[in-house]
Amino acid sequence: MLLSPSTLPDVELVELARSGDRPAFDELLRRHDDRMRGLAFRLMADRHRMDDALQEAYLKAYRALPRFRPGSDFGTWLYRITYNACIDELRKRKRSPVTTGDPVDPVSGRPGPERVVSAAETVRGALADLPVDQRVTVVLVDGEGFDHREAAKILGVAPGTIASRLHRARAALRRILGEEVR
Amino acid sequence: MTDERVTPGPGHDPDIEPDGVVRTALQLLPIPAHDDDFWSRLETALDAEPPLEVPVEPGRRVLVAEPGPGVGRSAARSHRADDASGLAVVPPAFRRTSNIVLAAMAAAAAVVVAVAGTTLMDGRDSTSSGPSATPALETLVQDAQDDGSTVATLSKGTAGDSSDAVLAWVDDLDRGDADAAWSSMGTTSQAYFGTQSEFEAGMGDLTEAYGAWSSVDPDTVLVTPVTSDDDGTIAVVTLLGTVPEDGSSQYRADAIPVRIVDHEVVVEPFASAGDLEVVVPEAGADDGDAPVPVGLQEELVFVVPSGAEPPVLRLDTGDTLVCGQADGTELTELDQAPGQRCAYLPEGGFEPGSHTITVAFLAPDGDAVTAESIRFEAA
Repeated sequence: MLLSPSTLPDVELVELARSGDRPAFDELLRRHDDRMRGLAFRLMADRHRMDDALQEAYLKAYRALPRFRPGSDFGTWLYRITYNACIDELRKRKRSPVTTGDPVDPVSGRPGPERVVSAAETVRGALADLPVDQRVTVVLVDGEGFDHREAAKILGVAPGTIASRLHRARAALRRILGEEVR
Repeated sequence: MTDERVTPGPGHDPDIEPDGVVRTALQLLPIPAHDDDFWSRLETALDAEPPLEVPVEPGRRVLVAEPGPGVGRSAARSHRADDASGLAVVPPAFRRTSNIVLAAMAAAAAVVVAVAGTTLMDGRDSTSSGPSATPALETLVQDAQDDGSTVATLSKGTAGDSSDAVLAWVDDLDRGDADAAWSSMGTTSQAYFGTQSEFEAGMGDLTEAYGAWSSVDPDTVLVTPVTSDDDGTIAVVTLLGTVPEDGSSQYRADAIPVRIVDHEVVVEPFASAGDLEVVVPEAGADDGDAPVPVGLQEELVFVVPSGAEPPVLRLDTGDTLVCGQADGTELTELDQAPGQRCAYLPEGGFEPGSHTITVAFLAPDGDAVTAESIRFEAA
């Protein structure tokens, strides 16, 4: 249905997309979708809500393309839109805690060994116990490997805010996870 | 369990590494694939969208590279010259040297002590950050409105001391002086860490975040009062300016709370009253280095926890407003989620250009404060 993979770099695809080239936009989404799913799922802890948030995020990204600044990083920009869509989704559906009994559906389609599943659910529960601001911060920095400055750009806050949220989040996660994750 | 946090010290890597334990834990969480119809649903939705308007090549990058009116150096100077609101401005000669007695705060209004925010200009005299009485410096207290809709005034001396305390603290962080940085913090922030050793273990993060201010003069230092009572005063110091980062620079607005008790100022960066969600300006709408665009008639929207005190808002160097009480503000409980929604649109809308909105709220007990300053571009 959508475009076949392209070898064009993001910057060129973005220029095409901004001029109305839908296949170029589709390619950009496909290219960055893995990481957006990673962010959305860790924030929402629910596959269907993840999909709802990403549908909204990708639509918003499309509508916002005319405002995209040439030379900016598309991935960072899309992260920020995805984050905001997740926040909207969380607010819409209340900040209900994660149902840790919800079956894990890994990319492989197969549950891992029991120990892994158990650990994964522990992590999901631990993440869900964090305030969303802390959750997204720790996901971006420790999960996705962004540094403070990049995470601050994505979330639209000062790096100092990232530092304080991160400190709280890490302390809470370590406390919650305890000996279960090594 | 090992602690992989970076510890400060001479020559330490300024890049903060991810926490190994947390990173490992996150990797244990598998990420599911989309539902089978995800892409087809998206395609259908995109098909229903009107064609994109081909963008006119913007000159905005140039526009946003400089601090705009109300936040930048020249704008702040203009404000000082033209200010008719009675906001206190500390003369350069007194910057980082003043310690005026906190005075006349009780003159304020019935519901909330009302005082005007204070703007300090750039200029740092690193020779004096400690208390030193300067009684010659006139205390300026703006008459409070009697409707409780504004919060206000710090004396010039108190504002200067607040600024000094924050700048001294970032200097301490940058030097790796854990003793000084620890002792500069209030008991609430110290309690957050538990012990000085715990603070030192996490100090690398703080140095990464704030230490860069030590090497630059902020263009503007805003001191925004939040509350004042018999137990003391809580204010927010916002540093605005261009900070070097990784060989380039970034314009930042960092808000750091302070507590003033018996004329002594301590920084309280970890006395959190809960999470502040910034709904508008929407962070996802623009590039991180630039102010987020907001319509001239678009409300700013923030969500604070239920039970928290009404947030105070300050646009640029204007009055400090109490959300829900001041004109142009509205405070409502959210329908479907816990939290209070604070909306703000000044009468007549925003002036075109760059702005900084400072938001702060207190915990119900009034002892903890969360604050943030956010830049946006009204257009």
